[in-house]
Amino acid sequence: MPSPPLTDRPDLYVVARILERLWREEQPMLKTRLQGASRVNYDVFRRYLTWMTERGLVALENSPDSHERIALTPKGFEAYRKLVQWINEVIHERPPGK
Amino acid sequence: MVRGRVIRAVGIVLAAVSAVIVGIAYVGPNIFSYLGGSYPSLPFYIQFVSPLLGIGSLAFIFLPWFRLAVLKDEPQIVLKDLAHRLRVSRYRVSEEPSRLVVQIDSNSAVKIRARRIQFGTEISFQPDATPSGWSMLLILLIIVVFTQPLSIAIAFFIYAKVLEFANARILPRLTGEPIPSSAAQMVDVRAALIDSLSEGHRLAAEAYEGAQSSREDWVLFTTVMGIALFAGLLVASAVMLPEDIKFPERIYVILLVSIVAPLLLVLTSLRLIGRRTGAKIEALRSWSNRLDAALAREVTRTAPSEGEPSSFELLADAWRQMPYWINVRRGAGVFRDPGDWLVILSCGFLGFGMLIGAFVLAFTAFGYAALMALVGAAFSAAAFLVYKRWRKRLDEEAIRLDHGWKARFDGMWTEMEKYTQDM
Repeated sequence: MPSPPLTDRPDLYVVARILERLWREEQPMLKTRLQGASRVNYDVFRRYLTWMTERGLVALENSPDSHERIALTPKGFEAYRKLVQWINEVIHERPPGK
Repeated sequence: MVRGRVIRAVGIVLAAVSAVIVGIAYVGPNIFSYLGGSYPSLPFYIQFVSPLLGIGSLAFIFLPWFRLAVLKDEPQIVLKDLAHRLRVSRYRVSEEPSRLVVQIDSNSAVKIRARRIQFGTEISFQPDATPSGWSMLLILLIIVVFTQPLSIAIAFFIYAKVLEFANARILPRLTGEPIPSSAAQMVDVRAALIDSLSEGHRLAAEAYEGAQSSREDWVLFTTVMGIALFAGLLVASAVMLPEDIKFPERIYVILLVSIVAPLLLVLTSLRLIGRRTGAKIEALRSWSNRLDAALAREVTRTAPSEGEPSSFELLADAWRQMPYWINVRRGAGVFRDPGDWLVILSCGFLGFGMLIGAFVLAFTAFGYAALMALVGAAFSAAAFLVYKRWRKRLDEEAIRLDHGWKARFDGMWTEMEKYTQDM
């Protein structure tokens, strides 16, 4: 059954959480494990997954054991790298008085 | 290494000399009076010359820069790579324009400078103390008479530690392996996470230490007030108690009055201080620990366990807290700006001492007293001006911080959300 689309704008925390988990894993991850790491319920997780798949950030892979796995695409890696670099830059930008 | 040992030996000798001086100063009068002799008083000028000698010694130890190496790379690249390598080793590194400040332990720190010279980039270092180290040195140097040698001894220990750190920890990180290009390193996600977490941890840890320092200041202030109240009540009750209350009841009443009230005041105040600062300090400690744990995880390439926040969201949340952390750190005045406070306390101490001296001398040597009062007033005015300048800078920073921070965070967050939506 196709999951309903995200009605509101996506929560950046959840998107970053999923991207970070996949980046750490360095290989496709079981859907159920990724859902546990994303810390949202299954319904919400499916919506995010659809949203991220549509944008090419992650890809679904069917493995020989018939379990669905999720992989980080180069575009997804680039998106996560950009978010981290962004936060790195603002944190290192010296506030007045450090 | 040999220099480090020699300097440490000098520190030990100075500490021993200091212990002897402090011992003679405080125990000497009792021994002399017990033996029936009179205790030779210190010449008056010693009280002013001694702190000046102490300040001079600290300047001799903490002002010079020592060359460590000359490299071919650009200064910014050398410092950025060095900062990253030290952060991977979990040292607390603070980046400032054209230099780094690295905390070695709770009292010692080192400044590292890179600057362009004719044949490359010269890396040099300067011994430094942490804010708590500076506070200790200032207290020993200024507040407590006769402990100046001890402050110089501690400064020598810090100096020796910095020297060893520079040789054993900084030098290998400069020359031990080729330094990759900074641009390549910035695209590395893990390097960026380590740098951000380390910086976040530094700010959180400094806020925590600042809050603790402020609490300790209040505890000290309350205790001093309690002692002063005890002394005042002791004298007042001894004088004002009706004559018909005789010994030993008189002693009991005096002790009861002078002990109970200050004790109640101190205990109530300590409880209020604890209640007011406890939760705040605990929250700051928790933030510092969380960021430190995340940093350790990132360095060892371990994934957060289920239920733990990702490094990204921890950093985003930490960033929202940073104005508060900076404000807390700002609240700990002496802790934050030891240099300014060294000048304020030195000038204030000398100025106050000279004005008191002038008042005493005014009855016997008016001309000398007038000169002394003039110099004392000049020192007091200098202390006041430096304090005013420090206070003004603090207020300006607070205004800039309050206005800029939220706007910057909201702007960045909107931009990131737009970026993810437009993908």
